[in-house]
Amino acid sequence: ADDALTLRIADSLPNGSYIYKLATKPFMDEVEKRSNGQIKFKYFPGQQLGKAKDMLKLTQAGMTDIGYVGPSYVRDKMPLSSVFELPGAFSDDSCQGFTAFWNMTHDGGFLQKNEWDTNNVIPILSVITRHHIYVSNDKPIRTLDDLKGLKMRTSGGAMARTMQELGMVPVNVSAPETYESMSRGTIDGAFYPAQSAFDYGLTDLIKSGTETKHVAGAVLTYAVSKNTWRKLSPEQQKIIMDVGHEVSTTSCKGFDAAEQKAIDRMHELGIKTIKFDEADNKRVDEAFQRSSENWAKALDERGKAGSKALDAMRKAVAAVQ
Amino acid sequence: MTAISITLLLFFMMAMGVPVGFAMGVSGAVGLYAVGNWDMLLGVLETVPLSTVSSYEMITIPMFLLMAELVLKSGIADDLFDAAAAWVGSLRGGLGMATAIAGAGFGAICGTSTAAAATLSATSLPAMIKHGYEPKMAAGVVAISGTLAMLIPPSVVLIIYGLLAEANIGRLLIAGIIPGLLIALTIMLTVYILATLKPSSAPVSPRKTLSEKIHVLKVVGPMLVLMMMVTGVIYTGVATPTEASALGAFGALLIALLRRKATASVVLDAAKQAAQGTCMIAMILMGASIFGYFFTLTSVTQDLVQWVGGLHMQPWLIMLGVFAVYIILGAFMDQIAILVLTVPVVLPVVIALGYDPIWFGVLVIVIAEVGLLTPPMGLNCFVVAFYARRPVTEVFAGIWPHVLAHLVAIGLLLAFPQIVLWLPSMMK
Amino acid sequence: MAFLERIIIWIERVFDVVAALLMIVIMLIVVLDVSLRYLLHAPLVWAYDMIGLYLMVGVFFLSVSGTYAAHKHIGLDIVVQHLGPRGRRYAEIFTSVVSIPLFFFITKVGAERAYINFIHNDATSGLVAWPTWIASILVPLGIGLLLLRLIFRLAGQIASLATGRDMVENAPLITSQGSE
Ligand code: NA
Ligand code: NA
Repeated sequence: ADDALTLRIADSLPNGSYIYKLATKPFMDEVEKRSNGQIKFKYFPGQQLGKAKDMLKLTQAGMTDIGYVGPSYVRDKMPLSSVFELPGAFSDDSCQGFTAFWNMTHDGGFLQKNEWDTNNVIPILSVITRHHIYVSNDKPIRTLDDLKGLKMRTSGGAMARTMQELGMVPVNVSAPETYESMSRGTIDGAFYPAQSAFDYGLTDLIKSGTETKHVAGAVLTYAVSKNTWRKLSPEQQKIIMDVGHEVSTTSCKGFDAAEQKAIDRMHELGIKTIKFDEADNKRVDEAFQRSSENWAKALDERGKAGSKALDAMRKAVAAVQ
Repeated sequence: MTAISITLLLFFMMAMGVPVGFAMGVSGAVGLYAVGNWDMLLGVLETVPLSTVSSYEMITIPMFLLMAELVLKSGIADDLFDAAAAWVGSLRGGLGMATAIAGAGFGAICGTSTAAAATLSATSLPAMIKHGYEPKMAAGVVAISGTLAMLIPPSVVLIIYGLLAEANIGRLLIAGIIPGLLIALTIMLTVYILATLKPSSAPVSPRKTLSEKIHVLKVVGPMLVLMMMVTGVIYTGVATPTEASALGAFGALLIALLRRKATASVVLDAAKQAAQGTCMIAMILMGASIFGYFFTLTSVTQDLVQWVGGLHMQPWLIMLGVFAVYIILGAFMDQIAILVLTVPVVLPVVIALGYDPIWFGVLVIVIAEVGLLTPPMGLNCFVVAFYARRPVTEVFAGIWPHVLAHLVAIGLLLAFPQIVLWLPSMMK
Repeated sequence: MAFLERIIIWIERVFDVVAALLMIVIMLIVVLDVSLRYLLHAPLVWAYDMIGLYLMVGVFFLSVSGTYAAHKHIGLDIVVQHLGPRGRRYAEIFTSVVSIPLFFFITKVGAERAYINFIHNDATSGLVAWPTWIASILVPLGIGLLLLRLIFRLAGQIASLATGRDMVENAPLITSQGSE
């Protein structure tokens, strides 16, 4: 019909990325369906409407109606929401993390009050990726000490702290350079979701990887500015929010299944599983703990509620299941 | 219609001599206001200037420019061309051919065409002009030879394509090698033909004796050191390609110091020149980014490509149409912006027609090389004009034979996809 | 007018020197970072953010006005090369008139952003918490100076046309014989 509403939705994902397939597309399809075609989307992938670090501002300005707001890209504006990116923030069941994050960013949740409201944006779809350790070095990794001194690609933030706690050397390498740097030994590995390792072609180079206890994460949300939100009718708001909630809290199953499939493919390629004994696992947990607390402390020192966010996150995660 | 009128506004401002970056920024801003609103425009003006330059990976531009400045100040450039002149200068168009060889060689150590063009402008261009080459001819061969850096690995643009297309980046980089050599040969052949048609445009240097030829090779030493500082550190895994640019600049500084050509004021001046070169390029990227957002919002690119893809014709004819669109877009848009805008839309069409994504990637890069030359947005020509202090129109006048030759090469790659696909198929 | 020009030129010189020094600092930091990582497995963890957030930003914004003054923001000379001295003055007036609004708004929103970053104590939270206002203040500083330079050139060219005397130098014409 003529009065159909078309919303621009923009992100910085490569076209056809697994996040698009597992979350973005199901969300758009379901909203269109439930609104009987009265809400349509015009999708702009690949940072066509702005780089990831500019997306928050450009969403606020209305450049796009729905923008890809990743807290780790806008750490200066949303330092607290990265709490879900801390190592071991939630279990190997992604649904725990996805649901806890949704709860903390809606209905008066801690992150909503402290960060999303103040930035005038509302997350309507959110996912969290889990990263594991991938080593491209030939050296067999049997104990935690074998990780010592490995040069690992980092994109900054809590990830670099965790690497240091595990005895690794963080090296800043851009995404396009990762393959080349890994193939030449400039870096010995990286933290990635298994599917991203395939996306970047790194599985040609990777020799071994962990499969449990994720060492880092990335929170990715699609958010709408309050200005744009106010222009929608209550019915439209309800459809979008309902579908967003459903996809955000159920796509975790799809993420975990796809991740398992990627891990199986890695096995077929001969990539070895890194497994630690009980003593080492305990040391890993301690390293995660220290890394998380240092993250919180650094924020506290700047007058941001780091420790409170960490507490709130742990409570919210525990409350799920 | 807005897209057309804003593009006309852009052309008008550029014709009136408004700096390219300013003109793209102004027309893009007017366009954003026209298709969007005031808040949107201010949001873009707040984010784009900072985010264009606020990135670590950007250092390849200033660092390779600094390397070029220091190579120039160290005097290696002159020595190198004396050596090249001694060996191939006695051939018809010999120095032009040497420039193509230097472009391919530098392409093997440098990932961005702009930096390669800057280095060649500071080295080959003055030497050719000194040896009596017609400036138009010399500038043209330098501008085209610089583009080889984006085809011969390492290549930043090829990697960006790989990420957009989800293609195997290793294979993609390997696939660039043979077409890169083919293009280098094409350039040499073009120079030979031009020099034959008009001998006065490319004077032949006198033939040198063998002992003279061997004597001038002493410049090879510092050149090898420099190549080690760039290619060597990448291949041995000491540094990333981004970091290698700074190591290259540092190597050039050391050589200049050893040759007693670098005083504090010389180095500071080189850094200032390189900073201004960076500034000029970044200003164009900034304007192109503002213009790009406007263009994206109009959906013209996607509509155009979808229209081409929907034609009921022979696949190769459709591919010709697709490439024609790329050449047109390349005339006035930033090459990376074109990839980001089009690859997600075009690639599915190309694959459906039965073509290989790696082959398509290499062809798109070869076409992007043309885009770096063609006016009005011919970044490599601007770089050559900037470095050589020559008029841009003169550089543009010199590139046409190479653009034509390039089209022939593109035809070859289209007719014989094996030229692209053979080497990667040899990988395990 | 000469006095105003001297102030602008003086600031541009200072900015140019700082930008040149930043270039050399970038080079040295990367060399040090790579060496320490390769030889001692102890890279400079702050190098990446320091360079990306501040030094690159400084190189660009501090040299933006000086680059204009040196006529190095490249433009096409298709029409301009056929113009006489008066025509070239009109051409620069045109450039100034169309660009001044763009750079005015970039300066304005840039200053507002820097102010907000400053009062909110915004910082990135990597291993080091880098304040963001230091980078964002460079936008209004650099583009603001370019704005002043453009306004000065505009006034100077109008005055030159009106009085028939050289109130400001005319833009040089790059010919095939090299710079004028
Ligand atoms: Na290259
Ligand atoms: Na072009």
